Amino acid sequence: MSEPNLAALAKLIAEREGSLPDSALVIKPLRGGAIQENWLVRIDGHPDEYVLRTDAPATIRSSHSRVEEFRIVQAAYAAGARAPRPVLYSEDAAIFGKPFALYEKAEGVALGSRIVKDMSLGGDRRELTRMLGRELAKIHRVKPGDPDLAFLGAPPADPARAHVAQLRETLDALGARHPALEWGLRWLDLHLPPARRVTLVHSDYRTGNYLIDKTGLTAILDWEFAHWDDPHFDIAWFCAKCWRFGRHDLEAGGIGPREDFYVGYEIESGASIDRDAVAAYEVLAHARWAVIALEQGERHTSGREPSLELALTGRIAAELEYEIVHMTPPGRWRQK
Amino acid sequence: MSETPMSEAPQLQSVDPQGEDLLKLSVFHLRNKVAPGLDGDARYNLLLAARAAEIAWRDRSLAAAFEEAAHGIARAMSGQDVVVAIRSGQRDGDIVLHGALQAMTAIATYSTRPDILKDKERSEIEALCE
Repeated sequence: MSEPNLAALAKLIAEREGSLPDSALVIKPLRGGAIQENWLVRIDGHPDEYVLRTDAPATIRSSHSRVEEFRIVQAAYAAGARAPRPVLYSEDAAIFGKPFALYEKAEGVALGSRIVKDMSLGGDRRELTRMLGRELAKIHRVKPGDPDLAFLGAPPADPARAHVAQLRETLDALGARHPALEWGLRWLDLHLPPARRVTLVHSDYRTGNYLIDKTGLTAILDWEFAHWDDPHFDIAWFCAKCWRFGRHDLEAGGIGPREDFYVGYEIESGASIDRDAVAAYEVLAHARWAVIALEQGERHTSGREPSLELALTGRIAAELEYEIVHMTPPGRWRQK
Repeated sequence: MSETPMSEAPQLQSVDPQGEDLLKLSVFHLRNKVAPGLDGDARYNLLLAARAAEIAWRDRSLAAAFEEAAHGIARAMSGQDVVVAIRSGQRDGDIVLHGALQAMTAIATYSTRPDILKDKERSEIEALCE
């Protein structure tokens, strides 16, 4: 990347945020985010901090561009969800060399393995679990028809079958032959229920993708996969065993009881959760994560982005396939 | 990523360690001798490398078991292409194929995350390690 034009960036921020001190802008790279690059933007002597997001050198097929992600965060923020406050989006290559979006920085810890262990974070854990249910319901208030989200396309007529088709298509594109994944996808083809309603779904709503501080939730992160879907998709992703960071006794993201999460969601949304649908969507959660892991591994094996971390992510597919096979024994197949 | 250090040096198989034994020793060395002196990105990247070496040694010790598990799936398919047959519904709920898939996925998982296997599965696979 060429040197960013910090003066131009400062001017742009001042235009959107009102007066800011006439002092130096400082940016530095942040860790985290395999699909995009994150930079901390700070103004000397000013308390406000921002996060600037751009695309990584290689991305994966199913992730949105930065402008699309920005529109999604705007819609969720307007719906009352605790998304980072969106500040601006720019395609002016003279500023950062490539398109970028800027958000107000939220404080807190996101690391899932720490969140499930460090009880000094998050405040009352059962209240946090209910709050995460409520926040998800707010995201699901966003319905198809919002013109700013037209890029998401029309909602699929049958989201469940669309998932199976899309995951098979991705496996074929990767040239990946995974019989256990195929077994799970066939089970899903037969057992995922038709959607009763379709909303915006975050699509990666899980422990590790929200920030908490000492008192509770501060922000929901990583909106790059959001799309129209059955809301059970998000509920199951949050509760799936693969996202509990080893705390399998706490089925809601490794942080609290599943029913607390459901209660928060149902009170906020006024909609009831279909427990059987969530169970089926949890199989999908494992299949989807396995395919994403293979896509990440392919970023390395293709030579586009040589990386030990990406290579090891590809190997995560094995444990997910193991879970899929255990969740779909012959006795759990519907009789023809 | 697991950061649990090994408590004891690995038991080596010969007086002139080679191949898998050297991989085991490298992982022990990285986790117990090098990682404690590092922090931040350096520690993270070192532990990634240790994890990769650990998987490589398990892959190597289970090569024959992998091959046998793949044969198990092939036997269950009786000459059919496994992907085509599953997608077309010819093997819906098939007990034999499910058993073969369980065996294959347990072995693959042993390489990367042996801790998530059931105790019985883990000990059965350990018996297959060369």
